[in-house]
Amino acid sequence: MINCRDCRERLNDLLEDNFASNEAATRAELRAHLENCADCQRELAVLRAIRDDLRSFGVAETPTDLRAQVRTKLIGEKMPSLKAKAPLFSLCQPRLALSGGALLAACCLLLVVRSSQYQISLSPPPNDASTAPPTMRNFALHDRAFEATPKEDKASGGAGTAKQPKVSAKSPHFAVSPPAIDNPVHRGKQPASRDLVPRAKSHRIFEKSALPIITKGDKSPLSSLPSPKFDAPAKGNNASVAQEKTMAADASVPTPALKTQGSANVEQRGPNESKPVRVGPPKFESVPGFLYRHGTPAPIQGAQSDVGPTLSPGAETKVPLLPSATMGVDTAPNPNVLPPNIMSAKQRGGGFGGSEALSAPPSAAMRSVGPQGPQGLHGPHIMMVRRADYNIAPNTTQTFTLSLVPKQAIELAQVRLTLPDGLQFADAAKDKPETNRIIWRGAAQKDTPIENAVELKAFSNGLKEASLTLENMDGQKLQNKDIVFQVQEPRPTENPKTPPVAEDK
Amino acid sequence: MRLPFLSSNKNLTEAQLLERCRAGDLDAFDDLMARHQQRVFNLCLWLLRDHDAANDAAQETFIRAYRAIGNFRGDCAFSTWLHRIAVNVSGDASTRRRKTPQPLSELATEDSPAPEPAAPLRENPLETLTRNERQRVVRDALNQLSEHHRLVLVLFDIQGYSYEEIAQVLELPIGTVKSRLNRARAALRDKLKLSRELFDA
Repeated sequence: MINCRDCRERLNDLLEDNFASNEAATRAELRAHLENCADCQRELAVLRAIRDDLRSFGVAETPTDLRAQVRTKLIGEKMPSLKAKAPLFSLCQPRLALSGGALLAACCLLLVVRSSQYQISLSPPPNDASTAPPTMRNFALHDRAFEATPKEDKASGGAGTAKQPKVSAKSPHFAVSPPAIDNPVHRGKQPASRDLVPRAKSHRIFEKSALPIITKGDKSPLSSLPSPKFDAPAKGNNASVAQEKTMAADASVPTPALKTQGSANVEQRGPNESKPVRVGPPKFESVPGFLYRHGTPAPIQGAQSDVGPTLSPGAETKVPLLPSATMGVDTAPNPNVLPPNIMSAKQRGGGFGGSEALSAPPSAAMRSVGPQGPQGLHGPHIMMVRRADYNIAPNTTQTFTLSLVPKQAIELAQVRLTLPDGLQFADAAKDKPETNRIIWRGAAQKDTPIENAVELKAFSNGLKEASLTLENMDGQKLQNKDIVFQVQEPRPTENPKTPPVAEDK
Repeated sequence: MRLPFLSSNKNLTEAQLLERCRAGDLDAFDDLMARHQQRVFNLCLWLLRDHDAANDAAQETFIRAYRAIGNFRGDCAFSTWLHRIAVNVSGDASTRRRKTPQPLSELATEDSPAPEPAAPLRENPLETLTRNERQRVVRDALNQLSEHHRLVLVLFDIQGYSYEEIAQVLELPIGTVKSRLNRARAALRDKLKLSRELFDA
């Protein structure tokens, strides 16, 4: 028989109807008791009232800046997926890991020095062929040879390939595998699709004594060349193999190795015109999660490189950029997260990408790792660049849907789009360009995005930062959102920009 | 001119967002935060009874979640996992606060803005008054309960979690959760003995 005490103990279960399947009898007994006991009924009613009160509590408003604060704190964090994987040196002890990192850095340093070495050595060299940088000369020759007959090359150098000394300055960053060419001094070689940039002045480094005199119709233009290092003149592919074997044995001596390859390209250049080929920096392969920038790195203001590689305008390089995190839809850039070495907008030459229209403080996502690259080298300028929100080709008109999420409800608000130089409203009068325009008016609801289609026209290449501003009707700024447009030609499938090879006279 | 909503992340499922988070997409994590911040913040607020402390704890919860998101394998709901972190963070904050001596003035003032009661439906003013008074009394009593009891009441009654979900959040057997809830309700009822007349009506 159930008494009041038993019943009180199970009141909560009665309230929630919280009985196990084998407790059906208990439950029936409790209910029976409850029907006859006014006290227990009252207790149950009190308990129910308390529960209902608990359930009727409203929810507190979340602080408006909670997400923004979290984002700010997380922006500098590594990606969780990257963190989850074991880093390269994670298994080592901290000190070892540190030295491993230092080793890696040293390799990068070596790479930069090496790459700069051959690039600056393109200036007129001394006449003595033996003092000319061997890599340079081989580069030029092999570039052509490679372009013409890569297969033949591969077939000819089987033995040489195996013994190829590891002198490649290939950095771990360069995801492009080295071309199938078996030249031991073939440093930083590009694949066949690499642009060939003729350098007018540097042809003098190729002295007649050391370089082929190429004539039209000569199927093996280099075959008659005497190798500077070897007594026997290199004859055909067999000679090349033999030469490379020797070189593999004596890899420490930078030998000017001359490949004997037939080259259709070389033939086209005509007699006595052994134009050296300037080889651009290695091509980078795109890695998911990393951003690349096309074109030459922006010159460093106030620190013009005198040793670093200078890239000719025609050369194309992709500079790996650090993974960037955009600030999100409704999060204002927080200047506090900028690293101390950020250049001011003034230092950078007036805003992002040199755009004059940009006077806003540099956003967190646009920070520079260091104005001169890692280790203070004049290396590839590694910048953290905010991802472009939209792409547009120059001199085209395109419609963009721009969205702004109001953080507050405003009865009557307007959205103003401010455009930088190089971007214009498509329907603006030519003689009367507009820098900003109100593109929306109405009642803004909190967290309900305002979407607007805007037709824009781009004029000049580069990254352009426009801003979308939510204002009240007095023009008072309430909220701002930056939008980055990348104005560039659509990425070509092939390389249409290859400078034409100089024609014969 | 208002165009249909086109923002990328809003239509994604939680699993898709989580996948993006694991790939380092902070925007996706922001979306997850938007979905869960209210419950997480309210849980912290109930546990810590201080708005600023709750804000800090909620932030810390999300930061820890982001850092550990690679470890979240979907054994339970993401919200459950998040609440577990929030409970731990709040517990740590509470312990820390207990160890730090508080100025007497702060202890005396009731400055924690407790959640406002939900807007009552069309009731007569007396009922509204009674209800508001009752809620105030219940809230005060709840705040006097031990942390264990308050936690289980908040999760079950205020946040509306099931026994199973609470068991996952607290990493306890369901039976323990049930008995703890019973004891918590009893403790609350005892605290409210003095104001029984409010509930008898």
